[in-house]
Amino acid sequence: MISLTNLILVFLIGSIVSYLLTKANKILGSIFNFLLISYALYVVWNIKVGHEEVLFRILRDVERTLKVTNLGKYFAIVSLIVISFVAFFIIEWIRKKDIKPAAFNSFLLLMVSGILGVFFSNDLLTLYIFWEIAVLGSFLIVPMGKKESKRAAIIYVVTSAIGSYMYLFATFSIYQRYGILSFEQVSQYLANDSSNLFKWFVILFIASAGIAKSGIFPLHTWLRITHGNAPDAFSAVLSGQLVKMGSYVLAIALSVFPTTQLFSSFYHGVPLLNYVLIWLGNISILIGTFMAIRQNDMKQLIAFSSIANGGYILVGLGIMNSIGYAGGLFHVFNHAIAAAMIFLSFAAVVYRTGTTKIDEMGGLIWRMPWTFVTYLVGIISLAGIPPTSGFISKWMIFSSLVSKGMFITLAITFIGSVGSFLYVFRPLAGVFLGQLKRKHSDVKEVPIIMLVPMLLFVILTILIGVYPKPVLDSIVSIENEVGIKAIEHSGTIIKTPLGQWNTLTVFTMFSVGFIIAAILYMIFPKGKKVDLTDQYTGGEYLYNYDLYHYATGFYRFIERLYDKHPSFEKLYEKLVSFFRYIGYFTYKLVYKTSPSGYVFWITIVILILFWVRW
Amino acid sequence: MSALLIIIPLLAGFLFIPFKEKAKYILPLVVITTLIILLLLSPDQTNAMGGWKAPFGIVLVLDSASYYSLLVVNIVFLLISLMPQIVEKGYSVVLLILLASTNGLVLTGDIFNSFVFLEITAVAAYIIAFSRKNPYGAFKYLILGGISGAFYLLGAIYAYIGTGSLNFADISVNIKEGFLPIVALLIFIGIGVESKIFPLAGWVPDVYDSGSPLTPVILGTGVTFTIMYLFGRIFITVFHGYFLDVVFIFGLLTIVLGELAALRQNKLIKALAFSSIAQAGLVLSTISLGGYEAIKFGYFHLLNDISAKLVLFIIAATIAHNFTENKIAGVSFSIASFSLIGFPLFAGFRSKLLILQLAFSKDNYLLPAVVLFATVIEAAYILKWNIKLWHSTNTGEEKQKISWNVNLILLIVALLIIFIGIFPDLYLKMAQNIADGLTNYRAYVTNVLGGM
Repeated sequence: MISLTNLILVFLIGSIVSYLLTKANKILGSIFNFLLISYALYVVWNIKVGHEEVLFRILRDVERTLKVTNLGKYFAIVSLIVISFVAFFIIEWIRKKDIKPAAFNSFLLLMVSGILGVFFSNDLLTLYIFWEIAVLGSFLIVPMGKKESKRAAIIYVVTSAIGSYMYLFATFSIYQRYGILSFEQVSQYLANDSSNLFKWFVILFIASAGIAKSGIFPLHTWLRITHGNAPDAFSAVLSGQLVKMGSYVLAIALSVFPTTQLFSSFYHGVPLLNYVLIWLGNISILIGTFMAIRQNDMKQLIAFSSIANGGYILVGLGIMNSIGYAGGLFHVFNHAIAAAMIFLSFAAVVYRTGTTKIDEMGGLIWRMPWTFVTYLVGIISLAGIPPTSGFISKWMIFSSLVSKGMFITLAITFIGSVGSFLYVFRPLAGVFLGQLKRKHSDVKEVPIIMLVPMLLFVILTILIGVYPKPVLDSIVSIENEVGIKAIEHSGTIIKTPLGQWNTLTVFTMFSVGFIIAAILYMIFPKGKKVDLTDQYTGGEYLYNYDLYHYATGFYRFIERLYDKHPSFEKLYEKLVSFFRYIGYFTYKLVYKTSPSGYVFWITIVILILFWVRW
Repeated sequence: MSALLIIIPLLAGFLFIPFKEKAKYILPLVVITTLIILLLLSPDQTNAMGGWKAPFGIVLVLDSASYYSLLVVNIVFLLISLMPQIVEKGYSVVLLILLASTNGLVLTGDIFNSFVFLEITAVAAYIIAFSRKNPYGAFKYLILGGISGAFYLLGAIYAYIGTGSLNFADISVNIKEGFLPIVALLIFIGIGVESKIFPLAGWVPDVYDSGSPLTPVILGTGVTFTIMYLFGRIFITVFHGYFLDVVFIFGLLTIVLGELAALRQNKLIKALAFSSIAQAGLVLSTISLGGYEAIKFGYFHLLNDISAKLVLFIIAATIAHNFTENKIAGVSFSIASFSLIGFPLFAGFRSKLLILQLAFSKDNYLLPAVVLFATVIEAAYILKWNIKLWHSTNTGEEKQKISWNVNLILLIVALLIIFIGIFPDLYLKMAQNIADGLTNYRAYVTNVLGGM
């Protein structure tokens, strides 16, 4: 078996190989990418937990090591599943795109090398290094998308930099105070530290990298523009995988540094720090849900949904009890798969129609039935409806909130859940249902190579929904590792203090219901298919198709309630223009003046120095 | 022997004044000659000019600091001389004079002599900066350079009054307590203009944007390094770190305001000029943290910065339209800008990491905060330019092709940046030697004055 260090090196060199291969032949390079990423999945799947490797040295007295933990392995497997499926999808998708394919494939591998390092690094600084490599790789891909993606890339990298530099600041503070950096030792030293302020500072600053990356309020604004404008297939990786890197850092900040032991309980065993983070998660759920309802661009809609789901994960992880933490981790898996499915189905739709605006489409179910199935199962899982896996994690988060008595958070998560029914229905109705537009009448289903990963996702999410044991098993080992009481489960039955949940029973019930509905559908006479204009309204003939599309202003009645909402994007824009103004002011005052202005500044400096010194 | 390093380029420069057009062929030869002489010389030697022993005459001091600084400066000149395309007609002679004066500035052990070389450097820089497109920028530089030169000279005069000697070593040992503040202040103003400290260096963006690629390249790399060396020599070797606390504050201001000013620029070369200002601020404030390690990491960062800036300035001045036509130049540009921001795998990351660690170990939390804040801003505008140049669609404007030798050199420097990012020992060793020479003032004094 190849060592992890070599695996990362293979990806770094592979990114150059992939560039050359893709230059020679687009498809060959993409197949190479897929094979390499699947190989990484195979290696990571079989790697033993506890395996350690020395990587390199940067600072004195600190060995850089890679270490396989249950937590890292779980995240790595989820990530690589998503990326390898998407890489398969890309083999066909890249043929028609006028993006730079060679650069795309090469940067994808660069990003994967960073991701592998992030999940297996054993100390804060190694994690930072690989984190930045992953950011670099993904940053380079984003501007290959739509026109606005150039701006999106900058917003993405700046937000990410704010988070990761705060993380770096905390890392060096730890190194300065304790002289060590590995996770185990840091958590030990933190446990013995008497300064509460320092502990707060460290954990909040480390978590801020995760907050920026997983799109938690107040650093959530990059998701809309970045996910909405990145290359279509890459949005699946962004939302399905890169955002989960943020959740990984949040999991480290909250559980590897045991917050429940570091701080005293504030509310039913939840420390104040976790409580603050849970509230950030709550706000993200609200913002994500309500803003998603407003969107007319389907990719931006799901981008807002990613903000909301990042909030769910944070709420789950923040509770830090057996069920809540497990729910958060399970939701990582579910949202990764669901978001990847949905974005891939969108990529398929865009591949055929060339637009992302919901009200420019309709009735695609007749032309692209399998893409529709993927989207349908994806949103069922995203909205948390059984029998898909999405329900299990939401149910776990709800029940832990109930058992902690956190009813406001519970109410918000319910609102988010109901809201998600609303917003996922909008693309469903607008894109896939309704009347087929004339211009789309000769649209075909996407090629089989693109369908395979999409349908594999469908199978995976239903399979885990019925039989969640594999995921639950790894969650149990993670909980044992970080010292939380492990959840009880027996394959299909999950036990909580509030009762238990049998996925198999639910699945059987739903199947029976589905069969009954199918039989009824067969028995009753079929509805008559009519053309859009083949009807009367108030005695007038209809002659224009587009005006009667009901996706325009779909939720106008709800949107009207919060039309004048405060916008953080605008706030941050103001902040940026403030900085630019200061820069301009400096430029005008100091750098653009005449020579006499320079003499003035020299005099000022001398005067200040005389005044301060003597 | 070490006097040859000044004499050869100076002589060649004057000899070739009648044949200005031919001078560009002689330039690489002269630089290679000086490099060979330099490699033949061994560090730790002092040459008294005209047989007048220090502190009475002018001495040229070649210790480990000046040796490695000369190496860096001469290599920069060599790289530039190998790219005759960026040297405008007739400027090769000026480059030869500039080489002589920078070599002299590094070598000299005499404060008045260093003033002379500083002025020659400045005059050469005025000539290079002056082009028909940008006479006003050069004029501003001329005025400001003149004023700073006057302050430097005043500082030298006060030092002479305070010690009775112009020799660096003599000044460092014998200067009267009362004179130190005034000398330090005057010289700070004098060097501050050239080393791009915040309110003093108003000339930088206008001059760098002169229209010819030579100006920003030579001023932003070779001359910057020389001035930074002079700064270290005077404030560390001669004043033993006196006045550095003031420099620290000005350095921080330079970082923040330089980056902020760059944000608003809509010309790439001006944005890079401000980035150069900010990086100079970072180097100065790192050096001013005091101590051997700080100086070492400061010069390490300076080396990384000039490597990146060499690539950035050349490309920014020659093709600021798009990279799709010039892929190799584009890749080099991107690598250099990633290094400037400090992404892992690239050289800038190593030095920024070391600077952060050092600042924390000195319980200084201000510098890391400022550096990280500045890096966010720097990332924003540098990456914006990268995206703009890679993804620009309008190919209507004139297409400038970069010739193969420029491309090759840029690519080599870019690969060197990656190499340093992975194995930083090469640059670290140079920086270490420079720091050794600068901090070891006792050895410097005995070396010059001959064991007093």
